[in-house]
Amino acid sequence: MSVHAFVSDAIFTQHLAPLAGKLGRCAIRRLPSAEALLAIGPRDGGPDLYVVEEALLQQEPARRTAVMRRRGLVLLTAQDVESTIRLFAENEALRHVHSINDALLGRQLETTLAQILADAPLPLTRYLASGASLQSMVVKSSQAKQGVIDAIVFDVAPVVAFADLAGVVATVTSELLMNAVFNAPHDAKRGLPKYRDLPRDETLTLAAGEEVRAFFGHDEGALVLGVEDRFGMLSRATLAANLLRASRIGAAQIKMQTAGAGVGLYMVINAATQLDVYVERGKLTRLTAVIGVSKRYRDFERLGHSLNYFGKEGDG
Amino acid sequence: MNSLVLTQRQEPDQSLALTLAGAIDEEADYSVVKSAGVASVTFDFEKVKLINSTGLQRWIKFLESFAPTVAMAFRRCSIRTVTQINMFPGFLAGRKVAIESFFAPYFCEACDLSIELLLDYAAHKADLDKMKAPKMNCSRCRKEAEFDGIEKKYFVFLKK
Repeated sequence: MSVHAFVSDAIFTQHLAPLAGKLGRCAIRRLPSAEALLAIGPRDGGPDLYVVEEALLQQEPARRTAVMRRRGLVLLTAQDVESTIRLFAENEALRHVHSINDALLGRQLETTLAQILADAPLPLTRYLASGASLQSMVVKSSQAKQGVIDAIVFDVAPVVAFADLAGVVATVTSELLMNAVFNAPHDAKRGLPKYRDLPRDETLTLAAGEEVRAFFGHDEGALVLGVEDRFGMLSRATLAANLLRASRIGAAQIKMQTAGAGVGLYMVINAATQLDVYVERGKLTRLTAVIGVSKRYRDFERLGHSLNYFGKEGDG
Repeated sequence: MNSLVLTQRQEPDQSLALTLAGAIDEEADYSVVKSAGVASVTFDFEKVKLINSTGLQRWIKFLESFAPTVAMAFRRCSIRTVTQINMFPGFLAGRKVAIESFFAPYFCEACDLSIELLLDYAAHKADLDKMKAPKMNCSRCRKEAEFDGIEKKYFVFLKK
């Protein structure tokens, strides 16, 4: 198994070459062209991975469509969050879009490639520097949301960062938790969401087995927030459609007639430099948001927004 | 449990001043606000620390409860509030809202600190209309502070 990279010198040297040895026995090779990439056929021993810089594809438009259909493609783009979402939504085979405008690109690529190569969800500590700890909490009721937010904001308070970091953290935590508590639980027999249509101001106590796990941790460069549920119902198509609608300014951007506004994940990806969605259908959904920590607000604003969907089976 | 504390002051000229503190979320309760007969309303967002997706819905419905003739103004908008208006113009509920003042991120090299400074729109109109950050001084050491956002991104809400 190999990682084939069709990227610029700078990206390869700074971000990909240092991953050699961190991805098991997976070799990292540089390709000279999209043509060389498309010449690689299926191999025994699992699918190959392709890391491709979108700007280089512009020079080979005839091959762009075929490259975008490749399984195992990790696309690197310099586009803003709305364009990243559009790329993800308009290319059905595309599951991994990374921003090259990101000081964290190297470590993001490491977790993305490692997760694609793994058979199981990646240990969450992989998102953080070695030695950083991760805390977790079990959430059994919608009323626990504020307590979780307070605990995380308290933990983050000593981090030297721009003034609004607490607000960013509170927003991401709130959206991830509300999504998991109200949208994830499904009726096993009918396959329908159980609580999606409940008013969000109603106190919802989850049944046994429906509990949600929230986790968080941080190191010097990033803060990781995430939520897991045991349903695994979020399909790539649903994720893409949700983000696309929420990213389009207009009357349909915020849903007014449904219990949820349908913009929570869009808020998360706007605040996060990386949003990873890991789904094992019927078993597990894990949403992980990585927030860049910097002393300057401008550095936070400049960070790109990467999106990954790791779906193990039954991706609707 | 109400997550948002609303302080209201009604003046004899039928203007209403509302100060919001806490979270604009699913538990925010606006039923205490008496909007009938109000000619103008000013919202103070300085102490708003969270605006979540369900909170957006409730907020928009709340603004819609005011008669279309009611003049609206936002003042002391926190960075959280500015961020949400930039992302969701629907936050204004389709109304023409006057932005009187708002906080913006600045950085003081002397203090080596990220700070939030209040910008008065009228006082800095010339710069802000060009989406340019005005020169400001650090609230602690009084030395010049540097705008710490991306101007064409942060000031978008002033054009909405």
